[in-house]
Amino acid sequence: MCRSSRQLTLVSRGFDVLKAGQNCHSAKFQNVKAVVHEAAGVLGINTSNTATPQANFSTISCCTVDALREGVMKSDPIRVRREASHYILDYLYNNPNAGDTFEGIMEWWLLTQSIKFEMQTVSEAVAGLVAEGLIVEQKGRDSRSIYSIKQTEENRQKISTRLMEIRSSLHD
Amino acid sequence: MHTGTVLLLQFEAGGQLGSSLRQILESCPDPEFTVAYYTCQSIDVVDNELSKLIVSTKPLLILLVLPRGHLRSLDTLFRTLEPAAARIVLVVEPDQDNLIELVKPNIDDFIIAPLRDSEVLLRVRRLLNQSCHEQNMRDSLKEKLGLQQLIGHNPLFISEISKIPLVAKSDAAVMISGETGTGKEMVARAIHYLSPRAGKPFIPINCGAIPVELIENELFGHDRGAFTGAAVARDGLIHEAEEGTLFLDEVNCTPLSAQVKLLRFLQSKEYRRLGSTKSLNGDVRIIAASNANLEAELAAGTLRRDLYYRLNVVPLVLPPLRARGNDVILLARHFLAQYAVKLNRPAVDFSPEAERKLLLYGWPGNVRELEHVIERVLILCTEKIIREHHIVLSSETSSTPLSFQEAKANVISQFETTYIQSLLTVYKGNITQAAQAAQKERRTFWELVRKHNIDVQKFKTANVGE
Repeated sequence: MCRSSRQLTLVSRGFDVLKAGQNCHSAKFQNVKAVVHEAAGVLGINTSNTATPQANFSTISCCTVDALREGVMKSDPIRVRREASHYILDYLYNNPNAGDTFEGIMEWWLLTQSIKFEMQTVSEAVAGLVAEGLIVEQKGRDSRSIYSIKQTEENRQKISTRLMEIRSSLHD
Repeated sequence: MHTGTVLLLQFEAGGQLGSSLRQILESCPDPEFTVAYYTCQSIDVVDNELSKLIVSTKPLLILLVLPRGHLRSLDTLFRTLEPAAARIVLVVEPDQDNLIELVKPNIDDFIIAPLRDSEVLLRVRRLLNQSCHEQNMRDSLKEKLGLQQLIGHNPLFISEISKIPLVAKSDAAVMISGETGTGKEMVARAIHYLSPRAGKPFIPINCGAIPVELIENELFGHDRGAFTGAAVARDGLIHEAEEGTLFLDEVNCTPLSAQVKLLRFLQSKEYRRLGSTKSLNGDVRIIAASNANLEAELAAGTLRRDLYYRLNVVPLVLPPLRARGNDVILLARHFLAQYAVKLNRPAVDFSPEAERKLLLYGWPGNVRELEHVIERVLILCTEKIIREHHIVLSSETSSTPLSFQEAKANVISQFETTYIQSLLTVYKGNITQAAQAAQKERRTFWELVRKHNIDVQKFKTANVGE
């Protein structure tokens, strides 16, 4: 999966995170914000006034993320090329002695990079959900974390409301 | 047990906090990690030396000893640290201006002075474990998704593919044999990228495509003045593949003089450039491949037996597509989806008749031929269902002459199949007796039987029936 799809995934959940953390100025939050805005920019959505990002979310939620992704791929080949360049350069930055033919880049470099970025994205998504209080993190004895939801009626209601919000905006 | 590198990063040489931390890490009685140290000149400037250190040591954990009043100026530094994908622990004095700022998503943990040995080591170990777990997850995902690129469910194919992760972990030479278009280079590349050499070069070279007189020069390079026109010294592919993998396709096409040098390199890891008296060392893994019958090449003396044995430490035999049954349809659907997107075609599937046609064809060009057939179908067909008449196979078109290699491989393959079958008929499916009659080792004979997908049981059963 290329970085554009990562950005689009972030768009769908990113506005929620933005909404939850409007007053947060941490580096990672700012990073998420920047990526979401960048992706929204690709989609032609004005996010310059994000005081109420949820309002803007409905603008892009009229189609599925896949459709948006396809739209981006078709509408902005330059951006897609730039993203591929980013993957390749990042790979070479981390493996300065690497070298291979085009097939190798297609089959293995991009795969390695997409795993790296996907893991990063999921990790950010989980961190965002924990920060919002929608899921809880429990440290296990082996230092690994277990993620789950709080089994309270209030929390279930909160998640249900949020899911409804997202679903309805996706079908608007 | 060594689990990774911890990078201790400080901003003032000889700072008290940095020194204490260093002492604690060095005092660890049974260190499961190695420690690298670095003192940055400035917190605001991207430091190239630091970037290089991170790339070379690939730390799993970075301990960031932060001077007073700099909590807010970490962004530039984080951009430098980002590619490391390491966990970051902030180590600070207790009187930092705003401790709430420690709760940054980039920071995985923080330690406030005074430092206690047990606390520091406990946290370091815990975070190293987490990092290792993530690394393992990345590796297993890479293995799983990487091998999924080698499409097929046929047991013969799977049995060979499943050897790749194991072979990748060792540094042994590998010999991949299989007809043209069976995916030998893909397999070689998978071995490289799942091996510890993954971040280093993978250099593929088709020995059959290089003029015989140039191959030594290509492989080993030359010194200045080695021959007329050698105005400057030039490195060979062995040098270019340093610490990585050199894939020698059609290794049987290498001239005998180069084979001797290659053998020497495989044995001693030493080689000489053309025209040089100085031996050079090379750390390169060799993976060789051939679509020819290497036994015949050995018998004819065109391939040195000692080189063959040296290369054939781990043999992988890729079955031809015609022996892979339903994999033909699996691969055809894969290419159909791929080219439908690429060519913006609506095609969604094959009709049952089209599938039958694909299954009955012999696929002398194997997967490569199948891919080209599907591409051609999608260029010419605009319907959603691909029907029998849309598929035009080589046998139906005006016969394109085969290349010398392909024609030779076909004849040899036919000869081997007929010869083995005749021996198995005579010896009623007894492999040992058939191998003895052929004056071949039982293992080699068995490999030939597998290569041509000959059902030995059939010969035994025929005997019982009589």
